[in-house]
Amino acid sequence: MNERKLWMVWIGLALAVAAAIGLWTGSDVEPGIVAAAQEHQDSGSQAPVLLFSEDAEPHLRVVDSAPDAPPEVMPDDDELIAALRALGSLDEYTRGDVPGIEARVNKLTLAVITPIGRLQRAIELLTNGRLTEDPTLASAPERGALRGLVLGSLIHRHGQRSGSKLRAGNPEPVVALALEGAPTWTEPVRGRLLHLAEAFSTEKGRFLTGRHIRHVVELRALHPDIGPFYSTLLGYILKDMPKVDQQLLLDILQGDQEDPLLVRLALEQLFGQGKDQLAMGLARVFLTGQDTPPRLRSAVLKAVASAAPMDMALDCSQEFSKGSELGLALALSYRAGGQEAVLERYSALVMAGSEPEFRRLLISGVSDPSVLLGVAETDPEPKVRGQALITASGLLEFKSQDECLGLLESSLDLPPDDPTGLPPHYTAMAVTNITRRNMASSDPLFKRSIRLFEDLLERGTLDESAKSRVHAELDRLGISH
Amino acid sequence: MNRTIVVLVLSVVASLLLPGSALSQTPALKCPNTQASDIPLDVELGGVTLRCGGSIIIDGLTISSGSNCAQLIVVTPAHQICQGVPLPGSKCVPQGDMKILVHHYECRAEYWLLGVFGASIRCTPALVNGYPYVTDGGVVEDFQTKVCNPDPVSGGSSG
Repeated sequence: MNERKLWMVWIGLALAVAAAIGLWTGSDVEPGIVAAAQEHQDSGSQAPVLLFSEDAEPHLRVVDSAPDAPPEVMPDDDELIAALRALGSLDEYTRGDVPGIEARVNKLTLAVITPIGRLQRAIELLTNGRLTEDPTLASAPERGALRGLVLGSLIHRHGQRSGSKLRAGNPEPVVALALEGAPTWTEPVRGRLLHLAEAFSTEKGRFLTGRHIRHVVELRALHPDIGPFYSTLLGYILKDMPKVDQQLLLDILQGDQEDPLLVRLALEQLFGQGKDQLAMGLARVFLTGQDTPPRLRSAVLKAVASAAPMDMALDCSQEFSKGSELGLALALSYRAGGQEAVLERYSALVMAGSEPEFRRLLISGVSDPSVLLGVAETDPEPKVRGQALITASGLLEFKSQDECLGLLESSLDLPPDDPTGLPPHYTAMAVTNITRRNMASSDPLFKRSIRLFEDLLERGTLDESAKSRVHAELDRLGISH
Repeated sequence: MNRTIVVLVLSVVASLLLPGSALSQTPALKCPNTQASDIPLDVELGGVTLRCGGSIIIDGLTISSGSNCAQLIVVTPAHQICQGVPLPGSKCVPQGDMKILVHHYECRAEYWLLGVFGASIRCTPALVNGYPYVTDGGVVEDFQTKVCNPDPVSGGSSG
């Protein structure tokens, strides 16, 4: 061995010892940093670093979110949980010092959402159950994490803005992490996210947008046990989109027939896009199918009622409704031009003396008290007349209790078999609605209502269930009977 | 001969009077061999959908907050209907009407300030005389499954 080779051996040995010392001290001092660095190398992008180590106690963590940016110091988990608790403890509805409250909201929100690695860690804590205090309620830290998630996504999507205190990052990996973690969350936490996802928006849209459709659809297929959660999120996205791809809609109608909400949305979208014949054809397949579950059938009927051209909607409802679907009646009446079309159809049917059950359904959705009182006096079918009085007396803005009570009283004066009378349990319901409004016992209308109840009981024409409802109502009102 | 006539008359009278005899049933219906089908409880949002809410500025960005508020929530109880679902020896018969409840909602400015998280104007039950306004909205006919009466003649059953 010559002198040059000897020097190289000595240098090699020195380097090996130095490397061994470096590795030993590095792993002992901060395992999280090593893990983060490895994760970052693998990611090969500027995406937020996943800072999570099951084994190591969390301490200060270093996030490298931009190549030339100084490393940011992350709080430890306890500190982050405290920040989440503070954000989650803010009252949903508040009053007082506006600037003070806004400043507090800004401070608490930014403490959780920037840098974005902090938000990511909050969602990890949420997902691994660290924030759960009571599985039956969303805890303050859980609420804070969800608020941070939704508000943080909206704010980060707007990027770096001048004067902003935010260090903008890409929120999509955090959103994906949350969507994927949702099956481990408690039911109240998932419910809370549904509320927030629908409640907050900026000019760029809501928490989830069209870009998330595929991911949500995949997760729904993967986790059918919480399918309604993902369906509701999907519903929010579809409702916000002016024109959903027809193929996606047909896929939903073909593949998600167990999901009434999505079928309804898909059909409404097709009608909204003017694909009336296609949508109606598909709706008829559901409505005529022997094995169509009741909820799906009901959803299809409501989709047609609310989104098909009005005549088509009325025809379909007339053909397939059973007369008591109040939700369907409201869908028909409350759409643009619905009330007029409903009354036109009602008039045609009453002139023809046909379809009393469908007439009852149509009338149950009408909101014009004078029309309803007119129907109560003129329709030849007792159930339609009774329904008109129930609907009228239940309107929030109803002012014609006197007239309504007059009709109910005169119907009771008729012989029981008189065809112009009213079914007694319909009378009881209309009176119940009136007593709910006039609570003062000195009110003459209240006294007349009580007399009607007592009269109904004395006549013995109510069936057992209606009789017990009247007794319960009298009890509620403190009337001895 | 006379005795035969008396027996015949008595048997006719008996057939008219005794319960369960073929002639005393008017008319004798064939058992439909069907059962009632379950319809689950249904909750439907209806009426005008309001948007209760306000906005908040965070880090200079205006974020709208709010929630859709259906004015009416219709609750139709679980019940049964007749859809002709087969069940030998049974029939689907009416059981009476059940009531449909309507819960009324409105946007109410409980707090005048903009909302911190949620809405400044809240979707809450409409109050009448200080109580949430819940009304009867109508009826839904309920059915049940009953065993057909045994038919003494054929050994089968009738409705």
